[in-house]
Amino acid sequence: MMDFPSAMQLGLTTALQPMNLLYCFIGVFIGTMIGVLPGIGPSGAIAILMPTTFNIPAVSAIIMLAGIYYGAMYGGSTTSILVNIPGEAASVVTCIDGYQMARQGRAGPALGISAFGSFIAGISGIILLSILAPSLAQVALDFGPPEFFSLMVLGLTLVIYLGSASMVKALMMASLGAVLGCIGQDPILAAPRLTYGLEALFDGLDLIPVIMGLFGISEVLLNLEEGVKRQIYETKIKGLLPSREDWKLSSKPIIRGSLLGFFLGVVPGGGALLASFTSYAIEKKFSKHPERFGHGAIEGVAGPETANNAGTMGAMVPLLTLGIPSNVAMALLLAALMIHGTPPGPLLIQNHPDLFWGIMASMIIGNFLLLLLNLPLIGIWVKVLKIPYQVLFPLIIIFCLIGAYSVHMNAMDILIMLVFGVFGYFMRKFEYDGAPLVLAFILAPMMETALRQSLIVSRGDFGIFIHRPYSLVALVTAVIFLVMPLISFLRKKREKLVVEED
Amino acid sequence: MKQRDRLTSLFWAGVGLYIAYEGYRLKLGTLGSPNCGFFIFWTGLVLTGLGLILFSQTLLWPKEAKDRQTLWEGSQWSKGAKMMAALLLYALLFKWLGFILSTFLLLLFLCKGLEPQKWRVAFILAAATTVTCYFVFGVFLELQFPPGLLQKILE
Repeated sequence: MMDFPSAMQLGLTTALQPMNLLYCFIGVFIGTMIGVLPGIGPSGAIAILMPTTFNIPAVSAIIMLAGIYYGAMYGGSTTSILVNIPGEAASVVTCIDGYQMARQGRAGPALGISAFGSFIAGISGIILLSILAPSLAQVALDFGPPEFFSLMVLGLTLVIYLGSASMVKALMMASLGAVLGCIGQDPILAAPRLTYGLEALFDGLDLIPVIMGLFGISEVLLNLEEGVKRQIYETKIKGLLPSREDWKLSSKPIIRGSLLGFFLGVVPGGGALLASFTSYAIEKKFSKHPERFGHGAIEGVAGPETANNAGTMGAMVPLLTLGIPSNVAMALLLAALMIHGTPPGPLLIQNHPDLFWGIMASMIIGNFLLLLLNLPLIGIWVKVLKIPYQVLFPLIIIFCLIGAYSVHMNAMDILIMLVFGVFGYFMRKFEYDGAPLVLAFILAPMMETALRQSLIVSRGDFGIFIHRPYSLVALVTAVIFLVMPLISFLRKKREKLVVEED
Repeated sequence: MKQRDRLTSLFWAGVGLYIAYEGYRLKLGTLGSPNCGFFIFWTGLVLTGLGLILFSQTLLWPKEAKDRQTLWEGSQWSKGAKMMAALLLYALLFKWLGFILSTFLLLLFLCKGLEPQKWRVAFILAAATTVTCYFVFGVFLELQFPPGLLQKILE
């Protein structure tokens, strides 16, 4: 394996090629725009744009798609601060103090510290990722099908545990997603399954129409029936550079947010959302004046905004080293890598060093570009914010339609997207979470292959999952996370009964 | 537990049973040599089991059911229904009408039919978006859109 300086040199040479620079710029630009605009998240944007990358080299494609993902985190803070509506779920917590700062005429420093914090988190996240990923990949080289199966079970369990209100419902959606992922040819015997004679299903359901339907179309349906109302707080944005006092208050939250966000990002299901909420809670606890939180405390913006960007970098670790996505956006990057013939996993760094280190270096460049895009050009994003929803939603619909069609140049994919759009709408109405379904959908073929291979090797002995230490640890951890909510639920019920009896 | 969960849990339990049946039909194989239906069969049974757990939760804790109002109360659901009908029509006529014509008509409907816009604004928005999308995706990114009726008329 290459030493770090040579690897980074290779990465910079790749990332600084004019075409890759252009794709990096397009990615972070679209990412910022997606972050600013409501009604479409980074997952939807990556799904829409993925087909446009089929004809370009793998490195350029991933550079652009990754740029959308981390760029959205920068853009998301703008809407939280100026409109009190998060453009992205991970920016929800920024609304609390960011909007209050804007109301006090301090929108500039709020936007400034969020951009600088995001930048610092991005750079430190890349450094941590560059150090951690090769070591983890080295360990993962010893993994066989049982370890991968158990790790995927653990990943799915964590996503369900951390991200869902109802564990039973989330598990149900994961089961359904796993079955949907099985549609098409059997991965080992190549026999068609659940295709009902439909030719369009022989290669299985494609991820892009499924995601666009579940997250794009269903979102528009809900917004149309509920109506999107936004009121921008009219204020002059001045003094984007935070003062010395602002820096003094924000420096520690930024450092804590960078580390916390990155490591929470590594955990499947954790990611940027969990990172930002945890950071806010920690900063409030550490603060000498917690009463300022909720009334425009700059630490309440600096910490979470740093943490959510660090979380996006952390989420890359399990994807690039183990081939296990920790959220929907990562699942899409996994799909993109597979389409380009560079499946992520322990061998990615060894077999495609230019790709891995190129992505790392491009993220450094991307973070510089984002700083330039988000501070001097803030006026443009404020204008973008003012686009009314009745103009925005037809555009979202058209992009979804083109995105779905462009996968196989087949109108059948549009129909599949519409079916999942209606399904996603009802899912949200009945409070079923879409993320476990999507992750199980993409992991199912790999999980099934790993399970069947393990059973064939062990001649049907399930002990193979327990006799291997990594597999055992992963499964035990998964069981703990599965049982924990049940124990806490039963305890609460018992306490309630005791109170009622008293 | 919410009242509506009672219905959906039974629905998913039924779907799980059907999936398990499909898995069984595909052949299960043995533990030492699992066949095509093995994973599907067991996943279907897991879904059924989870559906029944959710159902039993709604029976055990019915007092918590506070969502008596309907899901669509006060919502403008007809807008979504109209949009889905238009999108279905778009998917069915896409090849015959071609990208430009079908997209323009769909956009015109979305801009004018669903939200109160002036005809002029809706027309300009629909035309500008269609042309931009055609050049960006069709010409620059070389996606093969069906030419459809428009080409036949021009020929």
